[in-house]
Amino acid sequence: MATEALAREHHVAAISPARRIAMNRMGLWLFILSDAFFFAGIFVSRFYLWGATRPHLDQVLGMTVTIVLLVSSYFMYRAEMAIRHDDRGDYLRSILMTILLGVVFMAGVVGFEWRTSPVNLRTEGEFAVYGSVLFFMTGMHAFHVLTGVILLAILAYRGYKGHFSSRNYWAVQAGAIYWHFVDVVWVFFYPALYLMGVAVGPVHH
Amino acid sequence: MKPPETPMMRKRRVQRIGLYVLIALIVLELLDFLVAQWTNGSVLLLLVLAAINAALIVQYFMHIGELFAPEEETH
Repeated sequence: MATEALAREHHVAAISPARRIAMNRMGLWLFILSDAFFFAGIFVSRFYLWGATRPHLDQVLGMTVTIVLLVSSYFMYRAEMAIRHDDRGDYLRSILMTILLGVVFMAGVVGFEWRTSPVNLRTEGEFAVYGSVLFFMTGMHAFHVLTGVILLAILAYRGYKGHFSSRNYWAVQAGAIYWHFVDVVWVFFYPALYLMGVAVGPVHH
Repeated sequence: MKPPETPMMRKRRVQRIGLYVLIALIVLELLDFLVAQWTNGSVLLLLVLAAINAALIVQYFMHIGELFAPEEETH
């Protein structure tokens, strides 16, 4: 038993840092792929349940939160590039901006869209399915944004403590890839919820 | 002769690329909105635009190329 553990330890130690990062990167992308299948399932269910229709949602709010999320992705990219070049000040400013924009996005979706949407989980009759799909799609996405914000807060703290540099930034890159993935999901969800098909049902209040 | 690029110059250059990508993404989102108005929410066209948006993010922000790069070149 002890010999096996020692052999495993020796094997792990024998893997070069570059090889370990390559394996970590592959693992992360496989996770992203599995999560993409989950979101693809929700995306397809939207078309099965709504068809070529959609509820009357606030177009200005939809466009605004989308742009906020895109800008947050830019700041995350900026943060990653900053730490890759040992600019800790720029890294911290950019990652904090990303977190702030992530929170603004969540406030827009959960705080405003959920409260003002003409369809919700209490909607009954033929339009009940609009509320269910809307809340499931935006809810699961917002949950991912929330986990992303928590992850970025940890990365900001570790960056503040000086744990990252141009020679050690894999954790930052992993967080960035996850954050951008959340953005990619929204790039498909936004048109599916707000733009595709003909608007039907109760009107926005 | 061009002076050698310092790390800070390189950082600014790559960050500028990110800014161009952001501008392209926002323009595509605005186009999304306009296409939806003109075509009564054409699913096919909007899916194509979303795919272009996603490809830009995956290529430039997520660095998918590094997944297939030789190990020494990545970190």
